[in-house]
Amino acid sequence: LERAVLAQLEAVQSLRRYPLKNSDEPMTVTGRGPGECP
Amino acid sequence: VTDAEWAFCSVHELGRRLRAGEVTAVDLAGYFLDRLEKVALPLNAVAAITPGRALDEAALLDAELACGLDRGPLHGIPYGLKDIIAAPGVATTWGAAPFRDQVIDHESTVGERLRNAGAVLVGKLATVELAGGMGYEHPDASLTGAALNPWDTNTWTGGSSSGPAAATAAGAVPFSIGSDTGGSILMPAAWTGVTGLRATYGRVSRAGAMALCWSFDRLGPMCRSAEDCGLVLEAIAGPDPRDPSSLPEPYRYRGRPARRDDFRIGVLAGSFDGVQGEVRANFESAVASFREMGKVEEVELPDFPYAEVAEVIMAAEISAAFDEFLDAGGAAGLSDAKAHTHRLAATVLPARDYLRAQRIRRHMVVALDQVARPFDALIAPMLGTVATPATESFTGLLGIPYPQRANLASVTTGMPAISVPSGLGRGGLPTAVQLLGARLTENAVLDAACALEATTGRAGLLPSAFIPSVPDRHASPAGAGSGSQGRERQSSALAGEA
Repeated sequence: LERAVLAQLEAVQSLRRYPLKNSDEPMTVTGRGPGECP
Repeated sequence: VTDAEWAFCSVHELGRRLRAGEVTAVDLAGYFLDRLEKVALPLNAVAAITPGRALDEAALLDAELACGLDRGPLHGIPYGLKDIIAAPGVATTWGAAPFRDQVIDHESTVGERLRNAGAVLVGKLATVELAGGMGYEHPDASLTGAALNPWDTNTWTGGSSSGPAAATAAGAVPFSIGSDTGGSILMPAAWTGVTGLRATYGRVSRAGAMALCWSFDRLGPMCRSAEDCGLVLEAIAGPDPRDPSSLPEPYRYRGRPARRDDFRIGVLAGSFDGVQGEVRANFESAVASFREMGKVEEVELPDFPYAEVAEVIMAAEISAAFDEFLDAGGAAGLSDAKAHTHRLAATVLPARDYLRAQRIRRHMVVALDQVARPFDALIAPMLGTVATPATESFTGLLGIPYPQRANLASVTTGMPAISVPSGLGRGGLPTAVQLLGARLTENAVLDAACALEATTGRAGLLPSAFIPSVPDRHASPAGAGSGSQGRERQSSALAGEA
């Protein structure tokens, strides 16, 4: 579990270094953005 | 022509023989039911065999054909379904001990569409437990044990669509349906010398399949050729109200292309760094084939944290999809020690980091599309090594950085990808290339894959110990367990040769 948590922490820290704008919307679980559902 | 050749016939060729009256659907169902039992079962590739359903359906399909009702290219063709996909009247174990008695008594959309297309379900095929989603480090992390690779039964097929890969490669089914979240169709296809297609995210409904990671999960065909993948994809693709992620766009396969000299192929720069020498040589040979058929340019894969985005999204979605199971301590009942705790890590994963990964992912989708759109396909080696031993942990062996990076680029962006055999590598085991395309360009990718197969003849690679001898209609793998059995062999009945 400790290994898994550490690996996850490293991944999260790497993603936090990626620059995003306030307006960047997430993809959703449908693979599309909130405004793009059929 | 004898039924000994049926084992490795393409869908197209079996259909031709069926319509010519050389064989009936009942003959084919009986033959492949027998192959599943005698050939695929010893490879640990089978979860269940479905003779009652198969023979009943086949008899009906024969009657239909006799009356002039032809359901199309899959009419009367047997197939197998990965055991994370439901089928009525038979257990759907998800490959995991805690679900060994689970019966989901309704048809999946894929199963329903294949039935409507005339395909005949002959068996449920093995999977790594919970499609590997809880984490695993050993090939035997499955209710059915380690799936053995027909090319060398001392090696593993790869996972998690291990049963579909082994059974298709051994000629125990003409095609199969696998599932792919992080490479589970493409990787075992590569190691077993079959052609596996992961179509655009949303092309194929997942209704009736185990949900693992909603925004990554895809179902797709594992076949003897790219042409067969196209035929199967056409049957299973299309919108489905039972799957909110399914795309509204219809899909039609345009068939194997005539010889072309206008392909545009993007070679992913540095994609063979660190791979085995034979993997690189076969990859370069594939690229050289494309140079003869059009224009080849080197392109850079956009610089994104593909692995980290995939890891965080999978952690969050998988642990959510299995929250009750995990909360109840169900993971302790899985066979691989890694699976006991691995997904518990997501309990300390903040929601904002999951959303951050999904926000970065949107940039990846746009950037990858811009890179891929001008090309018929982007090409890279599929895996850096040939199949690894069936009895050893594979940790560290799969992590050849670049091929996995290209795979994760298509996993995270939902772009279509196909694994195509490229030759034989170390120990006479198969190697493969991956062809990636822009969203919804499956036909361009399939054209490129067909052209590569026709040029290299790689679709004709067969594991020799599993080729039935002509006089013996029920041959079994004589050399099973005796080490490397693969060799290059062509047959006039093979995909791409018909």
